[in-house]
This record gives sequence, structure tokens and C-alpha cells, in this order.
Amino acid sequence: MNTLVLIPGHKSLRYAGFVAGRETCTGTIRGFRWQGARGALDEVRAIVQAVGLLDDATSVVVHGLFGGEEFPGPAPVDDDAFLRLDRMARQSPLHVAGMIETAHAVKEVFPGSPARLAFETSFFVDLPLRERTYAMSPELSQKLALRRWGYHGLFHQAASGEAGRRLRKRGFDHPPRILSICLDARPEIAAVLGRRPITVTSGATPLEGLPGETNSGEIDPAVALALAGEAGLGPEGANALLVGESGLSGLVGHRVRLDHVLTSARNDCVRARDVLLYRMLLSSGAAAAALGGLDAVVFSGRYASCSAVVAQHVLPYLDRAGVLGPHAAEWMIFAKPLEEILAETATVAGAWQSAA
Amino acid sequence: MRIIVFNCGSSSLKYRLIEMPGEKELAGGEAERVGPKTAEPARIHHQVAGKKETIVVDMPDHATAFAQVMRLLERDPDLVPDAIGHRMAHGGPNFKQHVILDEAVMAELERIQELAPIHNPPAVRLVAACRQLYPNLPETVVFDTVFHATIPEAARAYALPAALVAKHGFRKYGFHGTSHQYVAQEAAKLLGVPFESLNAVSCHLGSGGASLCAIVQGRSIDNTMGYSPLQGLMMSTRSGDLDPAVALTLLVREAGNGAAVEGLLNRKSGVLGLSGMSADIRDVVARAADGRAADIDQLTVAAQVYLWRIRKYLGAYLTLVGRAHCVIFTDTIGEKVPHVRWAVTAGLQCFGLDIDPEKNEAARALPADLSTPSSRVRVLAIATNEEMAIARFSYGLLSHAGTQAERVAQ
Repeated sequence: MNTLVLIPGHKSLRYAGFVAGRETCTGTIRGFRWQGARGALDEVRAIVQAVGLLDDATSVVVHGLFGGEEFPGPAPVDDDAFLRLDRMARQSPLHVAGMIETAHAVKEVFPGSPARLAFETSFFVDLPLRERTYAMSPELSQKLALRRWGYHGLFHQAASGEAGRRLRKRGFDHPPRILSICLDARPEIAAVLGRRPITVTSGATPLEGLPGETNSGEIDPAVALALAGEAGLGPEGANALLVGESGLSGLVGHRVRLDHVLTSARNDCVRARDVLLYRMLLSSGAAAAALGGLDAVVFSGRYASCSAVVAQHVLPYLDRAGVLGPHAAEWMIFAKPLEEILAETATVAGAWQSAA
Repeated sequence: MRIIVFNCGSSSLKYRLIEMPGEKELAGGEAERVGPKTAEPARIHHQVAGKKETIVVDMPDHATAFAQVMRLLERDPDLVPDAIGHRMAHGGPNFKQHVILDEAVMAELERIQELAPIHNPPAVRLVAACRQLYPNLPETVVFDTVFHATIPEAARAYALPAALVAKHGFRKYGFHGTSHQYVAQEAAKLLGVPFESLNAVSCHLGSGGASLCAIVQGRSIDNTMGYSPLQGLMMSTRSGDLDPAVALTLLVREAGNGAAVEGLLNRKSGVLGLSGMSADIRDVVARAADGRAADIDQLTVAAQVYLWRIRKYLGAYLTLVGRAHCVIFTDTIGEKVPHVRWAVTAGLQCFGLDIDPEKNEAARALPADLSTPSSRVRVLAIATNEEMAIARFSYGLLSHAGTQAERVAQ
């Protein structure tokens, strides 16, 4: 079975073609805009046609960041999906409008192919109430649709699933307590019990949680208000600064990637690395408390190859505190890229729905 | 030396007169409804040697309240203070030690008071009034932030651009330091461990504010509060941790009115906001446990979120501290609500923590060890006494200064 994976971003569209599960072509269309999705998709169609990937049986999987409670799992691009997207658009008009545009364009450009939407937030739809609720009036939270989400659900689900399979092979017969660490541009840590997430570091938006390449992560809310007020940035300016100019890049003083910060010997990266590893340590300890101990530690994400740096810092602390079970000291790397995880969703229909 | 310790609230003034170094409490009380007139008259509840009296008297400001308290004490020559100790919530970036008041200290206190706009300004006004009315009485200032001056850079830094941090001073300060240090010292005594070797997590769970502190070798290495007392745990009316994007969304919704959002997050959120019925977690837990309330789901969620956040931070700090000697519970909720202590520690045997449910329920006289005999980490309930801690610091500062002055004179 052939699968085409599409990952639309703010400025580019990544694509990857798979034949029988093996990646055969991959690339990026630059200058992508939500409003002009059709043009970029025409380009992708021409490319995959040229390599012989496209036929009537080719599945298309479209990646989305935020699917809200409307999408507890991957869903076919059909009338029902458009109804659900329309309902979501009333709460998050900008982001969802882009997704609607892309989904329509996919139907037009690949009319004969079964298409499916897969969202990062789906894994976290049923995050326990105690974890997803902010300490504010329920009326206000409902009105503004405020609750905690995770934004790397695809990695966490696939990585924790693989960790669980490995434990079962060793005779482990109860739901494993898994610390899932996703090393990506916006890193994220989740505690997963069996197949269900119990905690996650991100929040209502991906801004909260661990510091990323350009996002601040958790700060005192009073600081956010001070940036908008006393610092004179206003709400939009403060948001732009916290999302795009802070985090590891803000600490280093110029734009950096997470893998560079984790592995560089340069002095200007040391402080940023210390801050990141410290926050990861705290989040890992919190996850261990949420789960009552750890049976497995698994790393995933674009920079999973840098896992050793994090593991060598965090695991000795967890070990000293006594929370690592007999299997957890051997941490795992789940090295599959996002494209491959998405391609697999085309063949495991409905699996996420039941997981959520 | 008789030291009068003042703990200044926005509309109240608590005081205790303590004989040092014997740590004997001679008198104490609280001036209520200080400030503009309210529906009920301003009054002072005054207590000496177990004898209580209430005096109704106009107190339009803290200076008047202070003068009235001194008048009450001066009725007995044995209760006239030799020194004044002040509690100050925020010490800003420069006060890394508690201090004896002088001109330079006063100027810095005035300069930084807006860092804690609710707590510091009335306390600074009180300090100024004391100087004016009793210029010959030595005064000390004890800061809640000083114990946290040892928090390492990686823990106190926010991931913000360096130039912005340099300009505005955004960093974690941490609060409740006087209480955390006091109960940690008491825990060290209880366990027979030198304070300089104590590893612990201190849980200051007040009926208003609350924070956890990670302590390694007697030094604070992290606190759940941040640049302000808003960050961290869910509190009685404060939201605690919140996605910064949510704070900014609220700001847009309030048409840029930062004071309105600060008011919402500081005074209408937390236990009060989530439960919709009370700012006191004891009320929420009791009503949720009753099982008959119409709003039981909402109350249950409020209680769960409150407990869950403590539990997560407890795990984070136990991991950070490593081999902890103890977890300490203190202040109103930590000392008096067994259910909270049990709910946040139960099932944490993986951290070497094993609370004994019977000891926990039965604990009335504090300090108390609530753990099972086999618990590697002791679970302690210890009554905090910030006034005594302030008296100790003040006595230490003043007696040291006296010794220095004597040396200079010789």
C-alpha cells in the first residue's frame, strides 16, 4: 500500500511518500501558505507521480497540530470532518481555517485517494481532569476553551507503545509506567500509564512547559503581564517575544537548535543547556510522582539522537530518588521520524480512537 | 533583649513581643481593619500572659496601629521593646541577607517595594513610621526571599532574552523563605541531623499562599513561587502555574487592563475560582466528601487539582533533592488537614515515603512524625513560627552588631 504524508507548517510543506511502509521520496515545498495550499499540493502531486508513487490506492495522511476535543483520533477527510473543523474554527479561527483550506485542497488534488487527518493533540483528549484543568473559574475556562493539551502526541503514543511492547516481551504483565521524553524544537515530557497519558508539560498552547528553541516555556504569569505592561510590548508583542525570541535562543543570544544546545561545547550554550536539563529533571520527577514510579524511560522526536545527554543528566537523579523500576534504568530511543509514524496511521485505522 | 516582631498585612498588623535569647513570648496580638473605615470598627486584640483584651480604636494607617500597639505595651515597663523586627515579603535582587535598618536600607526598600505591590508597601510604610516615632529603637528587616538567595542560576532563570532580563530583572525569587527555613531547622533538631546536612522538601501550605521548597544541605535550591507569589501551586485565590499565553489572552479580553487580569489571577482564581464556593480548601474537601452537594463534580475537581499539583511538585523536588531525610508539612493546611498530607504522599513509596494513616489522622500535638517505621524519608508535621524565626534573626543581627561595636570601642 502506498502512502503520502503531508506536514503543513507555517512557511513550508513537508511531504514523504511510502511504498509498503518504506520511505521512497521526501521533500519540502518552501513558501507554503495556508491560503495557497492548492499550489503547493499540485507540486507535491507532480513529484510523487513522477516517482510512480501515486495510484488510486494511495492513502494521504495530513498532519495537524491541534484537533481539540472534536478529534480524539485520526479521521477521514469527509463531510463529517469538515463539520467538526467548522465547529472548532469558532474557537480557534486562524489555525483551524488553515487546516480547513489544506483539507479541501487535498480532496481536490488527490480526489481518488482516501485521505485522513492526524492530530498531535488527539492522544491527550482524555488527559485526567486533575491534570488538564487550570485553577480558574470553570465558566471562564469553558468560555475560552482553556485546558491543558500535549502537542507531541504522535511521538509520545508511538514511543510509549513501543516501550510497552518491549516490556511485555520481557514478561511485564501490568500497564507500564512510562516516562516519555520528546526531544523536538519544542521538547515535551509526558507520563503515560499503559496507553493513557497522565501528565504532560505543555499547556493550553505549546508555549507552556519546557523551554524550546524559541519559546520560553513556563514562566510566572506575572512576568507575561509585566512584559505586556511595564515593558511596553502589549499582549501581541509579549506573545511574539515569548513564542519566537525566547527559550534556548533567548538564553544563548542567537538562534539555536535544540540538538546544538544539547551537544555543543561552546560556553554560550552551557547556560541554556543547564536550564533545559534542569526543567527536564523537575518534569521527570513530577511524572514519576504522578505514576508512582517508572518502568520505562523512552526518548523520541526529531533530536532523539541526543537522548544520551538528557539521560545521563536525569536518570541518575531518578535513580538516587529510588523511582526507577528494574527495567527503567535501560532507557530506550524510539528513532522513527514523524513521517513514518504518520504513514503507519494509514494502516492502523481506529487504533487511536480506542487508545484515547 | 525584648524584640517586638511585626508582620504587616494590607489591612492588619500582627505583633509578638519575644524575650531573647530565651525565646519567651511576653505579649502578642493583632490590629484589625487598619486603613479606611469599614462596616465594623478597627480594633486590637491584645494578649499578655494568657490574658486577652480587645481595644476599639481608630487606625487609619499602619503608623497609627503601630503607635497604639506600643502604647498598650508601654503600660507595663517590663513589656517595653528594646528592638523591632520587621517581616518583609520581597527583598529584591540585592538583599541576600537580613539587615539592620539604616538610611541605605530604607532607600532600597522604597525602591523595590513595587516588586510585591500587595505585601511590601504597607510594610515599608510601617518601617518608616517606626523610625519616625521611635528613632532610637534598633530595627531589623527579615526578608521572605533571603533563604532562597542560594537557588542556583539554572533554577532561577527564565528562558527569556538576556537583555530583557537585565533590563527588567525577571527571575525566580521564591517566597515563604522564613517559614521554610524555620521548619527545616526544627526538623533537623527532631531528626538529630545537623542543619547544614539536612536534605528535605518543605511544604508550606497556608490557608492563603502555599509553596514547596527543595532543601539540600540546609540551603534552599528551589521554591515553587517565582518572580512573584503568583507562580507555582494552586492557592486559595491565586491560580498558580498558568500558560503565559492564557495570561495574555485574558489581557486582550480585558482590553489591556493588566490590573484587572492580575486581580483575576491573584484574587478570584485558585481554590475559590475553581470551586466557586470557598477560598479555603478545607471547606471544599469537606463538602466534596459529604457527597450530597449539587456541585459535587466541581468541588471534587477543585480538590483534585489542588492536591495533584502539590503531589507533582513534591515528586519533582524529591527527585532533585535525591536522598531526602524528610518531607515537612507546615502552616494552616499542612499542620491541620490530615487528608491533604495523606492525599499528596500516598502511593509514593517509590520515593521511600510511607505515611502512616493512623499517625497522620491522630497528629494533634506538633511536631509529629507521621511515617511508618520503615519509611526511608520521614514525613513530619511541624508548626511554623515566622515571628520566632524573625526574632532569632533579629537577635543574631543585633547581638553581632553589638559585639562589633564593643570591639570598635575597645
